[in-house]
Amino acid sequence: MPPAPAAGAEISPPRQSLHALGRLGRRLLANKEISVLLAIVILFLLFEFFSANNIGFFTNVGLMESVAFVTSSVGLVAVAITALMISGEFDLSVSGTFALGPAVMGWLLREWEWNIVLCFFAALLIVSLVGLVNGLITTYIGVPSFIVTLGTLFAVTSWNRLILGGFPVTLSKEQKAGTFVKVLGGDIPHMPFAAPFVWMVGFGVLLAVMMRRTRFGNWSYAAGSLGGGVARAMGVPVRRVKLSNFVIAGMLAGLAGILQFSDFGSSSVASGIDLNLLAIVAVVVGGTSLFGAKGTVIGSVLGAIILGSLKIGLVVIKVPAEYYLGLVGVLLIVFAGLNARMEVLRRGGLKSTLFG
Amino acid sequence: MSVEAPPAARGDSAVESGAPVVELKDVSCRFGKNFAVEHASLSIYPGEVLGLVGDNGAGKSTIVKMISGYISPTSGTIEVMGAPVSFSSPRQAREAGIETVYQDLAIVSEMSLWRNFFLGQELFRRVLGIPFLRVSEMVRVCDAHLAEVGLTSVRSARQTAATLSGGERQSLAISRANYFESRLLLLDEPLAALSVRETRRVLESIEAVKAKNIGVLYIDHNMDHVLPAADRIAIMHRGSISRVVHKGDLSVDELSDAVAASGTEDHVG
Ligand SMILES: Nc1ncnc2c1ncn2[C@@H]1O[C@H](COP(=O)(O)OP(=O)(O)O)[C@@H](O)[C@H]1O
Ligand SMILES: [Mg+2]
Repeated sequence: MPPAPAAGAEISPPRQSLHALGRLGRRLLANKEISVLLAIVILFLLFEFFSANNIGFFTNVGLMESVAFVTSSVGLVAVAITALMISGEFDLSVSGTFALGPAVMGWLLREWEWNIVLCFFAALLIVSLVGLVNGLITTYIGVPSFIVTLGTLFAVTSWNRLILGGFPVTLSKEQKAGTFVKVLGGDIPHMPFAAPFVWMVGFGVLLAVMMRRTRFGNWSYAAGSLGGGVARAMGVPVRRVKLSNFVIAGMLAGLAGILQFSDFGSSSVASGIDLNLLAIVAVVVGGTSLFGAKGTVIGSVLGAIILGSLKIGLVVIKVPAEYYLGLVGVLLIVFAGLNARMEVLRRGGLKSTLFG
Repeated sequence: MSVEAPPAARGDSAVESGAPVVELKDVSCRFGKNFAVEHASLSIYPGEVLGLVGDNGAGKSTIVKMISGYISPTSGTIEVMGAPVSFSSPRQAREAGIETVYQDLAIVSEMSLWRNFFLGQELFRRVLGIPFLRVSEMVRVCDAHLAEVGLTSVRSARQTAATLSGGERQSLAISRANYFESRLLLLDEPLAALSVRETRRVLESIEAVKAKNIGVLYIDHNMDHVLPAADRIAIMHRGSISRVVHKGDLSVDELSDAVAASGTEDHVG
């Protein structure tokens, strides 16, 4: 930065406005959500103008439906783990719970022929319990959540295979036509996205408000700093806060699986694979720190939209699908690097655009 | 102000002029095999500043953490206003009117100043049973208090604590402790990173707290700070309280010697 002009020195109006513009630019860029939003706009424009055979990208409803489909699942799982990561913990088992939700729901439907609403809530209860187990082992026994949830990821995956036994669970035509399933995963007339996308955005906004505007959110941020020592010293019930965030993570990851199941009509053992890692990418791209205490839920939703657009957009510009994961890796590192550099710019400050 | 000398905390004086705010009775705290605090007894009276001095590792911070509920004593009892307590968390201690400025656990750097100021004691309004933060009110209160403690470099309560210097963090923690109505204030080396001006302000604020009839436990390395501020001084060595002296009894040099001497005795023994 150039040295500040001496007090009383005159600054010509154009230079002044240039300064103001520079300040505005820095402030916008220093806001993680704005920079992710900017990246989305750039990606959208790129894919639009370089689309093969001029099929367009954001002007193409069919493509936007695909983007929304991919984004819904990654996005809700990303939202699910954001609050948890802000409170300083990890959940790698979410890809397992993502598949467990529909597995339990579909199995109950098929084997015990329960009412579908009952099956849904029973499945939600089970996936929440997985989160509870993760949380209890982490907070009470003191095993790092990375290890605990790696363990439960394997356990849950194994359980999924037992339940599904090689056959995917499916929804019959009548079940899919029912109001309940439609609310969960049905198409929305005249909109380029289905119900799961709305749920994802809805939970994103809900959790964003929770994190920035409620006491629980305040406690979650504090719990994520330096192992929660300061938070505990100030009277924050750190264990309970972390435990709640584990349960939220399990529940929303399972819900994400059920929403995809309701949209798709079937779910197999392959469902949810890699989703834990992709969700972490979305969360990190969205500006949440792996060390806790920093980040926003809206950032994670935006991060998921980037992943969704990238996956579909690459096909649109005729890049072989094999490159997708590689580019995700590059994206992750580039954004983590940008965040680290901008941290300096921002001098440690982080504000949410929407709920600062 | 008439300074009534608090009763000597030797335990044998039957008539006490007032009940202590907090009393440690034969309290020990062990980490693994090592005793951080061993058979310590002390009391702090309302409107009294009890200085606690001793070498690094003597166990001063451990005493603070036991009173504030951050850790539990291995044995012994802690009484608050005459009733035995066993806080299972700092939350309970805060609810009992004990505010603490920790040496190492003062501020969450990632959070804004107002969030730090109200952490654990947030002002909220329930909507549908959910405690929503009263942000603008907390920002306002915090802004006012920042001005009061003289954090002049601070522009707004909304900036993150990462922007504060070590001394400024400590000042924030002290102003927070002063804001919440308490009956006991624990200060663990609050002046460690402070400038001369900040130090003077904190020492003044300790006087003000004392005048409100709040008990203060004040830990400091610097005898020059302790002696003017404290009414009584407890000297700690290797987990035990070796002496409790009254303000007028010792000079700064004698006090320093006393702390050093308790060390040599041990090395010889
Ligand atoms: N959490 C802990 N685990 C193990 N040992 C500890 C812990 N906290 C303090 N100690 C030990 O207890 C002793 C007293 O520490 P402390 O109370 O911090 O001393 P002081 O504040 O007087 O410098 C030291 O030997 C220290 O190493
Ligand atoms: Mg100490």
